[in-house]
Amino acid sequence: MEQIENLKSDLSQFASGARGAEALPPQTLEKFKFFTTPVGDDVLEIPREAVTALFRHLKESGRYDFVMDVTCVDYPTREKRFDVVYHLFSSKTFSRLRVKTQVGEGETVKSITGIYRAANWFEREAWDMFGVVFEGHPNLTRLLTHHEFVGHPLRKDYDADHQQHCSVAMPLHFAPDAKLVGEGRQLVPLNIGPSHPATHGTLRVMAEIDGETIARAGVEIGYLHRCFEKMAETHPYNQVIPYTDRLNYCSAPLNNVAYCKTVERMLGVEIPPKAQAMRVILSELSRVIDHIVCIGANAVDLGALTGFFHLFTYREMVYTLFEKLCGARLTVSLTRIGGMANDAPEGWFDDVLDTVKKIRAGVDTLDGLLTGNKIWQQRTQGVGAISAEDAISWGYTGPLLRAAGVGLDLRKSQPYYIYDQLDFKVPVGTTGDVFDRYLVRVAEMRESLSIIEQVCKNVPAGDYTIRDKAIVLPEKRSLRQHRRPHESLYVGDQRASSSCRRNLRRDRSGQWRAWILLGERWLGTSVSSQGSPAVLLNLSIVPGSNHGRTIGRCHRDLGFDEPDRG
Amino acid sequence: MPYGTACCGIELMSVMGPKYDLARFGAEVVRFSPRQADLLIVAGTITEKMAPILVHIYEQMLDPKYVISMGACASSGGFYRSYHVLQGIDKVVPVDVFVPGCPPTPEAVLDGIMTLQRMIAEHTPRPWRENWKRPAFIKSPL
Ligand code: SF4
Repeated sequence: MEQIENLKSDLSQFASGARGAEALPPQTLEKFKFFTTPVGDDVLEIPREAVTALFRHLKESGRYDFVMDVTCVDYPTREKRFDVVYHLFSSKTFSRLRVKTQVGEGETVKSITGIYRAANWFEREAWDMFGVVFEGHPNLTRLLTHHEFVGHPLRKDYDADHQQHCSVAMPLHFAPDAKLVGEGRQLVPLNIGPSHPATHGTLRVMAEIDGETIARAGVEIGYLHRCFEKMAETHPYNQVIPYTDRLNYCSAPLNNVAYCKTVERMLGVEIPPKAQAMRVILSELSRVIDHIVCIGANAVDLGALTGFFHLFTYREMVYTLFEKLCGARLTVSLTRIGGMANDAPEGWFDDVLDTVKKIRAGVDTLDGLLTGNKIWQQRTQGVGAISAEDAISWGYTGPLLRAAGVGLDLRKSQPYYIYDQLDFKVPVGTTGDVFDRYLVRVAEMRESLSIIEQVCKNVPAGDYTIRDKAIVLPEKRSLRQHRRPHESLYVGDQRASSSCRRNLRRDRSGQWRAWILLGERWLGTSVSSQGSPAVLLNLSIVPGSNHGRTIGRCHRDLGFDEPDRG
Repeated sequence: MPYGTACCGIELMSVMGPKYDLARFGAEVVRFSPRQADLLIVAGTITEKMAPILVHIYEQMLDPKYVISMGACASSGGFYRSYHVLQGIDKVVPVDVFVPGCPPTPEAVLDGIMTLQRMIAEHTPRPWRENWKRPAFIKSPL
């Protein structure tokens, strides 16, 4: 609320002061709509002509330095069919702003790539999925679907199961560049991935090399575009949870939590303390095993096979804990909207404490194996270094951002659940190179283990889920008393309880968002009553960062970017 | 040759990891070059964008060659009945063994590999392989 007032006065000053091509005339400013949603999100609705002037001002005045997402929502029956939605964030005040603008079919909106670099891929994605044209974008081509794809799949009139085959992989292509060739220099095209040990089947780098050195490179993703958004649109709320497992399959419970938290925020429900504690434990366990995969798999790429074998022993131990909770190892679907799927079995928290002790010893061994190891140091130090400013402008999040020296951690800056009562540090690096990313991850594993110990020693008593029958199914044994199907999240077309429907009606945007810190990046889950979640990227920097690097270094860098995304 | 693309790929790592240790079953050496591999394990979702690449890699393998499809996604598209996911790799390459599960347990994968070993030992006829042709909708990259 306060932020909105602040913004209002700031913008009116700007409108009366600024002149020139990027001015914001007061008449345009009158068309701005400021409001705060019932859950406290600040929203600004603007006409599409004002996009660049507004964003340039917001960036240059230092109010919002991060663009977290650019996406669209399709309202097929509305006169202006699309909402383009921008999510902004400030790394200084931790405040967020959602900016929306309406765009009709056949209309365009100005690209903000020149203002926020990170918007580049977001706008490509929005064009790919919705067909909204961003005028002035340097390379508005398909990002996720293949190059022969016709249509825009996230439009409501595109059928979820309408597949289109791809006949051939996109050929390597580079625009001729006189500066690069010449003087008898000849560049050799080289394809890396997507089936390559360092790219995990999700990413392809097309490079042109001069000897061992990469002269230039382009990057292609979408090889694992599994249409999560469209699947979420076509399933009831609770049935989306298994899909979230598979967003980042290295740490499934974190994704479960992020999604459920968003829906809970939308419904306006608070989960019981025990469920919160369990979610924190599971989140931190997931963070640990996520870092295990990252460090272990990349150690293999760099020739240190022992690290992988060593670390997977501990991953297996955590799998055993998950199995005790739900029977599954990897794709666990542990949470439900309103709490957990079931209670922890007797003695589970003691088992966790036991495992934590073993993992701690394992991390120490790993530290001894790699950190002081000359070969490891030489292969990682100075590779992929990035400054804090660049990391922010490229939209880095998670350990990559912290390795670059920005101590931003959602668990500290906007604590959720019980994180504000826990004692932990946020490790930061200095140079952002691969070695720092590794060090940050190792330190984070230790912090996570300490968090788990603190929570496990003090697990609150009580229920593991809320008991609102409109949201949660009653337990099996009490089903006899509830034979009649009732209006709930499980029955009918995703209807919400009456109180939440009131909320929904009050909120003009019908859009909800919550954030949690994932293993290797932030996950912001957007649920809109019309649907359009998005996942953030840490990869869009790859083309720029590869110039003038040797091929081996590129692989090392890639591995520590964690390119798994479903 | 492991062709891990998604969650099943992570479980395939477990199969090779210390606890399940694939090496105990006479199949240990992982090769990332199709020219050095005789078994292709497709572990994970294959998207429409990936399909031509999968075929290309399969064609680069030298005979005798075998394919294991690990998990629901590789076998049928799994629960991704969606616009960008290939509804089963058997639409583009000949599969010898399907391992069900989402993801399959490491035990199931071991069982799949042992099944294949048995098939090879018993000279089980493989009409799917003999009659295989590159599907018409996929072009040669050359
Ligand atoms: S079968 Fe399941 S676990 Fe395997 S890749 Fe598909 S979704 Fe992931």
